[in-house]
Amino acid sequence: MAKFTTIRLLLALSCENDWEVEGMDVKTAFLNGELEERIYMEIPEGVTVPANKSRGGYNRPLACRLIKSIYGLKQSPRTWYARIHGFFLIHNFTRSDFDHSLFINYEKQIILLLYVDDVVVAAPSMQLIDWIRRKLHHEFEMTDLGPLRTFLGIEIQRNRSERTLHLSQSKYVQRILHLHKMELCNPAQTPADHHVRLERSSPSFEATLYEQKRYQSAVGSLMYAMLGSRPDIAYAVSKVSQYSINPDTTHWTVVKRIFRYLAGTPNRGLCYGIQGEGNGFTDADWGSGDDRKSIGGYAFVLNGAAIAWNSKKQSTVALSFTEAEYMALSQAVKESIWLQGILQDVGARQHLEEIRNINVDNQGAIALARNAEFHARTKHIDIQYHFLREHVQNQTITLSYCPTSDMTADIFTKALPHPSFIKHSIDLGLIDHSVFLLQDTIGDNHTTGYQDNATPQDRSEESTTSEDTWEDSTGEGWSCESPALLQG
Amino acid sequence: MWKPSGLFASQTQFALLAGQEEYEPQTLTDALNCNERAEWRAAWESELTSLAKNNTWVIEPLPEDRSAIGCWWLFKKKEDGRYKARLVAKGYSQQ
Repeated sequence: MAKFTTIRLLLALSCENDWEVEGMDVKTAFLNGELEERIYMEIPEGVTVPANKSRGGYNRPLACRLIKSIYGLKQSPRTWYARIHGFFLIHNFTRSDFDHSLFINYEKQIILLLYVDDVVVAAPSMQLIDWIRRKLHHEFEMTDLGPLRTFLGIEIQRNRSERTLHLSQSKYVQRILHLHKMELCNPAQTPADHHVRLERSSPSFEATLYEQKRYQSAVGSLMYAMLGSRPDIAYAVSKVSQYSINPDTTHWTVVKRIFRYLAGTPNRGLCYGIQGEGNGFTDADWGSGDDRKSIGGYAFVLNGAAIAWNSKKQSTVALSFTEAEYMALSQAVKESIWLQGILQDVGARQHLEEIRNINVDNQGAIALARNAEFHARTKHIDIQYHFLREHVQNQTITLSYCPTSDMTADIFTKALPHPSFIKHSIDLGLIDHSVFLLQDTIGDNHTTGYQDNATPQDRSEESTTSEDTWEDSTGEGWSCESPALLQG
Repeated sequence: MWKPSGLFASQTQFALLAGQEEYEPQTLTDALNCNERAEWRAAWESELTSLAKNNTWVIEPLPEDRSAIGCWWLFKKKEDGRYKARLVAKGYSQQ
């Protein structure tokens, strides 16, 4: 199964290198897999039985003995995967050990991502894509979808001349707003109110099964948005999901607040290629949970926007801020090692340095990671967290100090007031689609006056100001942008 | 109480437009009798052809020691407006 992180990483690189990215899908993919077992299925409604096979002569009813795997069988996904994996091997593709849905042909420089029957192909030229396209068409029944526009419900828009790419889930967001009857809500500026402190429901309160299910489905639908292109709601979603077991009205208010934030920003999404740098960030908030456990989070930015992020309540209670940061760091190290593996596999070694570097805003945690000396305050820290020392020693991870005000991962550990929330959102590469479109008109104007050698920093400042003007803009600004957004 | 704010008015209209739920038939009979029966029939027939072309199964008498698992038709409207029919086996009844 393709992970969202892998597709984002691939898109970030494609956008940077101006690769072609095409989508294809395999028609009735599972029918390509041959079954090894004997399985009988009743004759489907509407299938006519040939006259010579009609019941006469047998005392047994007729049934379909399956030869190919069909949808719904337990072994279907496996047989299909085995089939297409074999095909890729023949055509000289290597499977990445870090993500089994990622295949690379080094000789031809083609990267291929498989999600069940959806295929994404990225390559430097259209000829290379056509080569694999022909091979695929020869082997399977395929549909060509042209340049990749959506993948798993994420909408992808590119601006090839500016080498930028925008990911959003506006259609999905509109759908869940409707589903949870929140489309007429009053939009909010941030996903979580920093004055509200959530607690468990009182022991006497018991949510009905129906309420529980409704709550969990609301949180689940928010979580999918969060996983796809919305790191800005990660903290809020992880917070509300901790109360899924017995939600009362206070928890509902917080869930609704996230919907209200999405209602105001349905077109916000990750924009790659505007601010050129990559980096890792990790942060923790000590003992902020109602059970005194800490919240840790991290983000990795590549080509100007986040490709991986996480916000999670830690599983053990930390005794100090440093310890909480250290535990969060160990999570980030695991992700960084994995990302480095993928980057190496897709041949993007130039970015290893950026992903290797993790920013921490706690000197104590950095000191603890750098030298393994015995310390009365740290002797209890579990061995599992110390694997990161090894990586720091081998320099597979480098640590940098970063002041709290610039700590992007702060957004994953607490509810932030509006100004700092916006600042960190922009640092994660989140930009409204309208601003992304604006870039085009800016580009047009600039063909006359704009210097082509604008540094990435210049452009990032530009986008920052655009974002700010959006915040204060009037109704007209929105309504003239909206028709364009609808088509996108 | 919802207050229409100038900033987000157009967004609300967008939400209303996007929110209209589309009808998807639950059974083959529904599909072939509803308003969009022409589209559903085309989708269903194309799926049948594809099943036949791929030699998905052979029809034969069911051995006495075996039982047949069930199956049903699923009808889905894709986001890009395509109509899709798909035959799905009830894999959960497999042993």
